[in-house]
Amino acid sequence: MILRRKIQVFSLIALNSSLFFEIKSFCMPVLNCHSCPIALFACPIGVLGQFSALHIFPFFILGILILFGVLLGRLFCGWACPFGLFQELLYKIPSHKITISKRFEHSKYFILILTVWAVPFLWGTDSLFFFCKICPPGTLQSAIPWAFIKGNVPEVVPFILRIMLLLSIIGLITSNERSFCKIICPLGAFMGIFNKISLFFIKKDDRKCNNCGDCEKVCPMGVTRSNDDILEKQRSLSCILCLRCSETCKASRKIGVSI
Amino acid sequence: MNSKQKFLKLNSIILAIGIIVSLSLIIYGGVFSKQKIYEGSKINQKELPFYDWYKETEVISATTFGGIRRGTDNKFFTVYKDRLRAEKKLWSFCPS
Repeated sequence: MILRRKIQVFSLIALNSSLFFEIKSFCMPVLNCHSCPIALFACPIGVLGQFSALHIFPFFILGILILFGVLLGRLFCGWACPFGLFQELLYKIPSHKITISKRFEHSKYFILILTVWAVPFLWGTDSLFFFCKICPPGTLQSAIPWAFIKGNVPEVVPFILRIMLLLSIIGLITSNERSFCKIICPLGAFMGIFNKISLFFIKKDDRKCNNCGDCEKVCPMGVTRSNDDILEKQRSLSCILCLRCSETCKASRKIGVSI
Repeated sequence: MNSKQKFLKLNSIILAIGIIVSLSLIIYGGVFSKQKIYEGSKINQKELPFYDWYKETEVISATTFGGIRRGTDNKFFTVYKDRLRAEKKLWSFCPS
């Protein structure tokens, strides 16, 4: 846990360290707004949305995302995403905690298809950065800092709406851990697809599991145990490989990462 | 061969295909493709300030907008950005 937190902090700094140069011709599979004053890489969702708007197949970005996906699954969500770290820290704030029904977890696929592909594709260049207009990490990393830097905002009403949306998401995150990842994040939805085949995945030893359920209680993504011996069914689309289940497992860590 | 071994074998094959496909996409998109991001729009890509710098890559979209977002004391840069905004080709909500 301490190692993961250190890596998350390092990632936050590394991904936002473009004081002297930037590598915007490359994307990392994390939601880190490329309009952030100090962002190092481009945001894959922003790029995908823009390619959709321009009706061009995004060979390069799709290749990068698929490569990361098949090798690591959603590992970056759990270990490197700055907004993931932000959510984990917010959840530590003492407040009323709620549970979100698993049915809502499908909404992120809807958001991915609608806001990143369908709307930009149908509306063309009029809808460039469609998802970015409502993206909470974008508001946090770009809209607010640029408003401070420039001392004004281009359009007041949309800016206020963005802030209100961000505050709503913050409220949700504070009451349910990683709820943005669970029900909204389009990048998480895309990368999660590869969890089924990725090189890294969480494996549970069913023969040694005593079914105490502790792993389920600590899972930030609300992944439930599978008693099925079939490997395919043990691989959850939501798992971010944070290893909290492994750390909690009393049966001498019968859960671990496998290759 | 039991079901678990079969699954692992199938998984390895899918994994290998995934790696090959992704590398092909990266190589095609990043190296061989002459496709430029603004071909689909009315923006004259050669007017883009960082065109020469980024022309080899497809991600010129983000990079270019990133560049515009960054702003410099380059007058051409500012004029181009303002024109994009006027033509509603640059996202008006964008705080850049």
